[in-house]
Amino acid sequence: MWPSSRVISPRPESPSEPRPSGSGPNTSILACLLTVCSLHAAVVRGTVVEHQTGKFLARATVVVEPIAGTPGATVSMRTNISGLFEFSSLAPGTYVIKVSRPGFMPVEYGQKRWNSAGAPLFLDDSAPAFLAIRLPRWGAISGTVVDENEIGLPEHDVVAYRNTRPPQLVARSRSDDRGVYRISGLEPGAYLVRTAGAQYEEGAYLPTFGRESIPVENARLVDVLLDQQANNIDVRPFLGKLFSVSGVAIPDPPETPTKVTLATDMGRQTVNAAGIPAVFQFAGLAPGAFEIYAEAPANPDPAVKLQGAYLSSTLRDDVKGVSLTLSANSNLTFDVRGGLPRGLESGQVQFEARRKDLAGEGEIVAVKLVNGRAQLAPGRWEVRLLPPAGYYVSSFSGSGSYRSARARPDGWNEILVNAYGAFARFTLASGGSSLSGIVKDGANLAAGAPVYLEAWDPDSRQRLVELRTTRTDARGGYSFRDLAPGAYRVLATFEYRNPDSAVMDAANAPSLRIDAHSDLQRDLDLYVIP
Amino acid sequence: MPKWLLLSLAAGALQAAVIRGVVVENQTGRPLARALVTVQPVAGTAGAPLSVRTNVYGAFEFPPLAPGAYLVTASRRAFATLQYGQKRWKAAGVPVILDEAGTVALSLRLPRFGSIAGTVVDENDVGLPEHEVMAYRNTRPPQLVTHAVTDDRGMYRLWGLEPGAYLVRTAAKKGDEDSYLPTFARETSRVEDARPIEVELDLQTDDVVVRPFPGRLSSVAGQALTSSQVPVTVTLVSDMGSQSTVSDSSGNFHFDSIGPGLYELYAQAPSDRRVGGGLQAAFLPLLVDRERAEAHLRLGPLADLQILVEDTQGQPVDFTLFQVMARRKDLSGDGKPETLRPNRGHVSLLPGRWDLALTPTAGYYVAKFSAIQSDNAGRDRADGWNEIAAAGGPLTVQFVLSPHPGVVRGAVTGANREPVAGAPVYLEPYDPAARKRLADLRVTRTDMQGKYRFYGLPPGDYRILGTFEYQSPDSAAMDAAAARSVKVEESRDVALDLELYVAQ
Repeated sequence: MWPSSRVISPRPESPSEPRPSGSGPNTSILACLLTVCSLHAAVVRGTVVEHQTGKFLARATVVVEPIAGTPGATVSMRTNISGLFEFSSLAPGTYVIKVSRPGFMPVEYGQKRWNSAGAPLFLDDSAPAFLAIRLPRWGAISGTVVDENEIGLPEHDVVAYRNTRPPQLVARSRSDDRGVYRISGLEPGAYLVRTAGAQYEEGAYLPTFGRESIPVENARLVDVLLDQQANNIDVRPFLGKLFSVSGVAIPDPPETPTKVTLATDMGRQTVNAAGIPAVFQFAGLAPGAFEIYAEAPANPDPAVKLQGAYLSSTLRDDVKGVSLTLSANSNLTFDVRGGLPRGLESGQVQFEARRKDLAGEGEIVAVKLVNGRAQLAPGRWEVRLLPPAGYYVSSFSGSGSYRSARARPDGWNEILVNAYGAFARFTLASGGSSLSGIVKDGANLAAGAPVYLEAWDPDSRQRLVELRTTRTDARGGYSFRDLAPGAYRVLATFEYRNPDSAVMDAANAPSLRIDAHSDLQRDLDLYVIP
Repeated sequence: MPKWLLLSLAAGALQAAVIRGVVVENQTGRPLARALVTVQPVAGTAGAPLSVRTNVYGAFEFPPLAPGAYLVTASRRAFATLQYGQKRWKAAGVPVILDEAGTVALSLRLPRFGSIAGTVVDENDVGLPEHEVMAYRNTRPPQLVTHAVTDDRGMYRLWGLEPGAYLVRTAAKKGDEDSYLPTFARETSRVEDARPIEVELDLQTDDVVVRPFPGRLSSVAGQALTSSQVPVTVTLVSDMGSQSTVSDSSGNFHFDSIGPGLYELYAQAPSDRRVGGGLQAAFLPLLVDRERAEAHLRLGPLADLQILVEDTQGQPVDFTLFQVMARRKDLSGDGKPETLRPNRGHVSLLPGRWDLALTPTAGYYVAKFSAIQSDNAGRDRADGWNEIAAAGGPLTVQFVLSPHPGVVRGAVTGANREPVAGAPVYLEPYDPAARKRLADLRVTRTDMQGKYRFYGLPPGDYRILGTFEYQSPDSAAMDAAAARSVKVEESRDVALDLELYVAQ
């Protein structure tokens, strides 16, 4: 059940504009612009409560964000001990209100469902608006890991995956002394639960999907809802043999403490290998693909330089004697072909990198360049260039990456860094294309409506670059700038905050082709789920 | 042919005693597969300890054993270890007695440890996520046992707890705008007002709610100066535990989110960059009562402790005849004992308070202890832990060993005057006037003839008790059991038979 946020005092109605018939936002903004709006302050106040119980949420953060065309900056405050907030000196206009508190799902005022975007609120100085906002909690899954006699298995890791193929790792938890586990912070949806495999003194258990299946095909689906815990999702893992991977890390100098990480589709584990020799061991592993990488600081400047090693293989039996010789020469040369365009300084162009391994994507790190080079430890990485305004990335080539003709250089690009280094070469072109237009909701303009632009390959039916998002301004206008040429899909809707490709499909998001150095005009109809 | 069979045939005895049984979960009766069962022969019974694991039905059977008495224990991860025959938690197990062809089938019910569960809430009773919660034994100072972190609902669970009284306390927490002070359940910052929580086996004590006080937390910052540019490990200790950090190369360190109260700062660093060089250290008591507490430590060489060990004639005693143990003492309690390895009678100690104890070989006892530089001029009972303060200067302590220890021995008999094999006997060094225990309890078990023996005893007053009711009785338990008093004298052999104490 979706908690709704209610406005308690009615919004003013302008006599010259008809009430909107669709389920879009109020449009008496137009009325305000046609008449002379006085510059008295608009006031919005309200309460924030826990959805399930109605208890006041003190110290919740409330952010009031004006949409383009409304004067003023984004302001925020915290609710007081009774969950109350008040903003009393806002310029009249249209705002998006966002509320959050640790442990709860963040909410945008006016959102229809848990993953919808908030509807903007028109505020003027006639009467204060009062909002009653209810924050729900994320869903959770709980159950017991049991042996063949229904006795709980303590300290057994449990992993939750999204029910995709391949399953996507979402969260990991560990069972307590009773064998009981709880995975929380889950978005609504369908999940698979799997034990991670554990080695005890008396035997070993294989990774097993709930309730009792090794292959994913027979795994039990768990439906998760907000404010609810799926209970009794028990797993009975199979007994079996688990293996270990062990060896030494060889840094220079030999006493340098080294971090060694093992990645599989069940997640990552990191250990510290110190001493001479720097021994490491990962135990309790199921057969399958794995990657190991090692990292340590390097002389002469340990704050900046590093040394690393990388290995990928398949586990079928105990692997002993792995030898990771760390190299300090894995310099990655970042290059902008033809040099930076005239008028640009090197500080305006930023590079980002993140590791990519069997467990997914790593954390994004900003790459610091010294003379066009930076150090990344050996392994699989994704890199991207964040161009300044007025430019876009028009091509990419890098070492070790198999680039399909369809790949888009303006997103993440995969490369392989080995012990001797690698290169990443981008081409920056000036004056990307732009896409703009008006979003209409029936006959009315949709102000503050989210617009999503997806770089899309219609043949492979795949999203190629991260979604771009914007909101329309007070006149329903939107624009995206500095776009690389290619195929896209665009969708204007309040129904979703972060639509994936399947949602864009279901919404019949219009496709378009953007040519280089062009400005495309495209008006959109606000999409509403029928 | 198995070796044990050969030996027993040669001895003429038949090994056919069988111990078998089943191990189950106490609360539900469900079988515990792969549990570990161990038999330990009582002194006088042939053979060595043996272990087997239960099968998938929880059943076990040992290979044929020599006749005699055996102590049987069963254990499995996440369960409390059980000694067969123990009357209650922390009672001693009763040995199983078998003759040549005896068979015994045992049912071992393993209980789970206790737990405490509850919620950490704000002033509106809304749960606070990611708040650390600790469980302490209700001693003074309180002893940290385990900790947990609240989940998104603000709920926590502290598990693996032995039965007893505990205190539950949240840790200091700094939010973006709000901070919370360390608070005891349900809502107090003073340990004196904290509500002790009783924990039992197989039971979860629920609804232990803590409402932490919002308040300003302090930071402790300062500089630890050393002669070389090495990072210093700085540890901040309170009566509730300790935390450590490493300074930067200029010696600057800081601790955030510290609640008000009394602390001790300890600093330690290598003397220089060479691996294997000496240590330098410093110690400073600190009161935190305002937003920012400053501390400056100057590290210096460790205190040099000279340990003199002589006999009653004043002659030095060979170092191979004894072991010296030391444990650091700070606000959070006593540290782990470690064995000292003096180099020509000298050892370096980090600054602070220490306990020293000397364990002589059989034939000696510690008659006297004194710390030369201080007023500590030889207590009566030097055979336990002796406290000293190390402050950076040289320090000399002297142990006097006497080669004339006393002995107490005898037999433990049951209600029908029959000897009791494998019965625990506890000997407590005791001051009858002050009614206080003076040194650690000594423990042994009677052999197959029901006989026990304590040797190497310093002369003095003791209490003695033979009973299965406890695994480690404190003075109050010895009182309740009407333990017998016994006086030990130099070179004297005291014979004392005991009646097995059975609680009513």
